[in-house]
Amino acid sequence: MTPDLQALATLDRVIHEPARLMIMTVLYAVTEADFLYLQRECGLTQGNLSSHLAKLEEAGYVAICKTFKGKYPLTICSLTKNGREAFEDYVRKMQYVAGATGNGNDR
Amino acid sequence: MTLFPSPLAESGQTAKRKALGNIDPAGLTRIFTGVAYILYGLALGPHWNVHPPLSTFFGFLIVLLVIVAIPYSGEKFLDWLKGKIVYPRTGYVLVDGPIGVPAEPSLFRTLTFALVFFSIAAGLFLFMFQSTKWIFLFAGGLAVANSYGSASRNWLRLLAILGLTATVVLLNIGFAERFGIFLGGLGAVKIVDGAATLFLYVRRNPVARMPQE
Repeated sequence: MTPDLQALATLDRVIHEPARLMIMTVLYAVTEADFLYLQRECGLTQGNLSSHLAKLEEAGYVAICKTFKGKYPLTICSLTKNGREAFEDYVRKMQYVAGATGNGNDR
Repeated sequence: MTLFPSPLAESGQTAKRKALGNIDPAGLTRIFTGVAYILYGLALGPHWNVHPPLSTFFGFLIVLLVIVAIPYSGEKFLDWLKGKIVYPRTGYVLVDGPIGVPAEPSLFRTLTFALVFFSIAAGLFLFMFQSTKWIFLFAGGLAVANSYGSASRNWLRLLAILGLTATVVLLNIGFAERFGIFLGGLGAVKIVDGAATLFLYVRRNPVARMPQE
């Protein structure tokens, strides 16, 4: 395995899972979002989103705050500082691997 | 062209665009702005001929109070309405950045808005006794400014505003009535537009009846 490809082995597995990657991408783009918004954007079921959020929270990447907006209950999620850094690191590694792979024209 | 065209970066941009669109998808801000315009029209317009509000300290105070109260109470009211209409349907999201909105309406923002509007109103009052051409310039300027911000994306709204401007300019009435009608008409255009958006939004997005995890 070349050093470029070895970067793939160091990818954060918590983020690398597609559903969690979607959640992280949405949360990275916004300041905070509630459960319903994430569910609609990611197209996940309630249980699925809940379990992925729990894993991200456990890893310290997502902060979850249960609150109210008027009488409407809101589960507000946002990326923690660690989460932002981990996501940026993940993207950097992916870009590094993508760059090392070339543009596909030299085949 | 790279093999991987940075799908993550594009997804991030898309996510941000969609989130910005979700801040007020129901046209509530437009409806409220419309109501505020009409109230401003009523507060500042038709009574000017009889009792110019800036001529006495008391009048000045009332006008200032109305100008400050409308946007400040409006933001609270809008927040409450979003909690009732938007969040249960498409969820709550807050976007950081220049186009994002702060979590809570700040007094500074409200006062700045009020002062800007007040300056315009005060400026108008001065121009009122000088030359009527300022009325036309103001009407056109306001229409263009408003069109640039939002109506340019909606030709019907743009035409309605320009039609309104033309009507106001052509009407043979005094400045106060002209000003009141213009603001009122502008408000009506916004309310109709916002109401249509709200109707479509509510029809397309039923309330998500589920507890949040």
